[in-house]
Amino acid sequence: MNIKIRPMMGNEAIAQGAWEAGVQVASAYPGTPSTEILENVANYPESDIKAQWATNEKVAFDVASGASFAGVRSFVVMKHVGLNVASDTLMSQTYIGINGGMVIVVCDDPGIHSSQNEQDTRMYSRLAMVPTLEPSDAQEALDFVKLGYELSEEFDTPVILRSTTRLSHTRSLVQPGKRTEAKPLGFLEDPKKNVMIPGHSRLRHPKLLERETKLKAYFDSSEIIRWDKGSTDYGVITLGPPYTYVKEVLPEASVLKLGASYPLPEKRIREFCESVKQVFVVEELEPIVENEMRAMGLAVDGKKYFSRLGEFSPETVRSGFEDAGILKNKKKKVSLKINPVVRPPVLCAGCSHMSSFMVANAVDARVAGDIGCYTLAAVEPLSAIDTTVAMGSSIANAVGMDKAGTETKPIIATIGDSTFLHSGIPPLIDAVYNNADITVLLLDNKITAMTGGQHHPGTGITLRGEKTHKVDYESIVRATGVKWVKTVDSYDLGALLRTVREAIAFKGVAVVISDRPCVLDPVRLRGEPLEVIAESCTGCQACMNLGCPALSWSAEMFEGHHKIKITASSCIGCSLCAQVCPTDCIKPVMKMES
Amino acid sequence: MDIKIILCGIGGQGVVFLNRLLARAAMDAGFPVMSLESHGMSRRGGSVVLHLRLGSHESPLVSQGGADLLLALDAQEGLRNLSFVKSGGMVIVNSKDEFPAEVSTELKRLKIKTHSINATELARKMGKATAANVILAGCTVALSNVSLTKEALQESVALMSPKAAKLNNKAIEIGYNTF
Repeated sequence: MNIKIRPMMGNEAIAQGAWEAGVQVASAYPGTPSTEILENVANYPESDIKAQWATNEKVAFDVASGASFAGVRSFVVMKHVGLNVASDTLMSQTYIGINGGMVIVVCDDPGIHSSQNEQDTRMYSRLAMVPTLEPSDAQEALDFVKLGYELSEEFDTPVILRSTTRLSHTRSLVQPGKRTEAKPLGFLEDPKKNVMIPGHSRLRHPKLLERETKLKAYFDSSEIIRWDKGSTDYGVITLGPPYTYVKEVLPEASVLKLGASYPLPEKRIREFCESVKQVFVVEELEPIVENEMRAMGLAVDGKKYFSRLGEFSPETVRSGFEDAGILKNKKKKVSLKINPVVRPPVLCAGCSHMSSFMVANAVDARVAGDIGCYTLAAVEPLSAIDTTVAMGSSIANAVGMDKAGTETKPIIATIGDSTFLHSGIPPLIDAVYNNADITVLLLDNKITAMTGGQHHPGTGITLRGEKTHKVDYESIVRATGVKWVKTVDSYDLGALLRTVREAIAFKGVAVVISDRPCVLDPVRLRGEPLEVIAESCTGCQACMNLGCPALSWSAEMFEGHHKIKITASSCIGCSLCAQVCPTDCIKPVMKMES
Repeated sequence: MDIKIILCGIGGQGVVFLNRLLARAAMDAGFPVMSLESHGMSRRGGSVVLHLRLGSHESPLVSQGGADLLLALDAQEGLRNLSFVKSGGMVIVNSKDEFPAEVSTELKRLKIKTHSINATELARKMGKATAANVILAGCTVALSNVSLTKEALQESVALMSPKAAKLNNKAIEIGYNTF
């Protein structure tokens, strides 16, 4: 029976590919734009695939490695910056190779939609010498995952499948297929291959070079390096979603579509260059293909016309070819002369992070921040975060600030629950070990909120929704040697402020757990909304400092200042605004007597 | 049919559902479809812009000045994304007001038609305040260049959310009849 074609998001198609390939173990840590991949994998029966959230990307990678050692096909997923965390494993795994096939999906974020940078994963492909596949649409994403396992097992290598935001989140028609069961091979006892000590690693390194040569030859004749024959005046070498932009903008061009970005198929590229008068490379982010072509001694243009910054669109590709003189400049566009207001990202109405950062402001702290929804407290009106670096950096950043001895303000590290479990524990041990004098505000909203509400060991629920052990933060914190730890309700501003003051006064590492669930996940919280009694509002703006999107200015004024109104449909009745109101004019909405 | 649509609004208004609904309806009618969702920093209350292409396999990414249709669930977001609309295109915006005079003049100059409809209010009266998105879908199938019927849209919405089928059918009817 034929399985029906259906629309799939790129991420869904990648998951389908893993299932069809007979993957038996899959692991990931959530991160935009990769999160939905493992969520989709979990829709397949557990008897087919063991799918699980890991505490961080390195753990996820190590789980996949373990499954590969044990002889089954394994699958690991992360966003681009997640590969930084997992890179230590990658650099050894590439020497080891595989037993059961292994595909690593890495989702880049050109344009920085929701990340801290726009690094190019193809750099890691070269550093680790790992073959890297580059699908352009959802159907290819599915097909390339399956191809990835064939390559992995044929060439004894982990394989990277690289996606980008545009591919991961684009929905298009896909032909799903059936699952091919791969027979478990069992553990392969081979210490020279599996145990990376210097004597063994030295034997493995030459294998990588041999592998690279073989892969080059493979890609030179592979159909995923596709030559769309067209005009001989100029040719375009491109890969990933920009392929579709090139086809749209230059339908007549000769195009060499690279379905793999490492290693480059040198022979095919040379043939292509010889067949056309002028060659352009259209690649997002770094000039990797361009530079390697130059190293081959080929004349090519790329970054001269197509930016190293941000993500491409048909429009940027068109304007690049206009600058290059390939396309005529279109008539000057009649553009709209309108400058609407920009809507900055905001915390949700009733978000428990608001009070934690209100308190950090109240004690005038130097705040080392971390990665999560709460990073939004860095912008107005809270403006409460001084630094944000990478996952789990906050606590050790605070230690360094303390050791520098230059700070007159109290030093606070703020870190979310999921981020704490991801990489906050080693720096907490470090802080105690080195006698730092800092306060850690552990923002426990009981979910991985920013990526859309994923469970983690602190929620006591697995990816498949089953109950499991629930981490007890106070016990973990005490076990690191912290002598002062207290848990407070985030919605009790007074208590939170008093507790943070006590924590700051404590000499040494103090941990305050700010405790309230996320308003959206795992369940959407609703409560009785509040309203502003307009007669008593003096427009003092104290509540506006929370940055709650349910609060806005009303048309009514008091001594030249806007009074405040509450949007009842957004308000969940958390009462934080009522707690900061000096005139006590925020009350539950009066119910009309019938 | 090859129609490029920009859908925009504020997180929580149902822009993603509107996108999936139109995509689903087109697909059920046998047209190729591509759509693109973007997930920003904000969970709720942030800008949402989606690209949808009905009737083609090419890139769904719509260029500035390339959209046949802009569907705005919020007037400010509509303003922000007007530059996507091509000369001769169409804007359908959920708003109780018309665009400001200077914007309307600009739109006239570019021969862009606008259709302001207070979908939120209509949805509230109908008994489901959150159905403004489905009302806009109803408006969309009333357009002559969109080869989808009202009935087909109603069938697709019933498949997507069977429980709310009755109210959604009504919402589609309301949207369709505003033209």
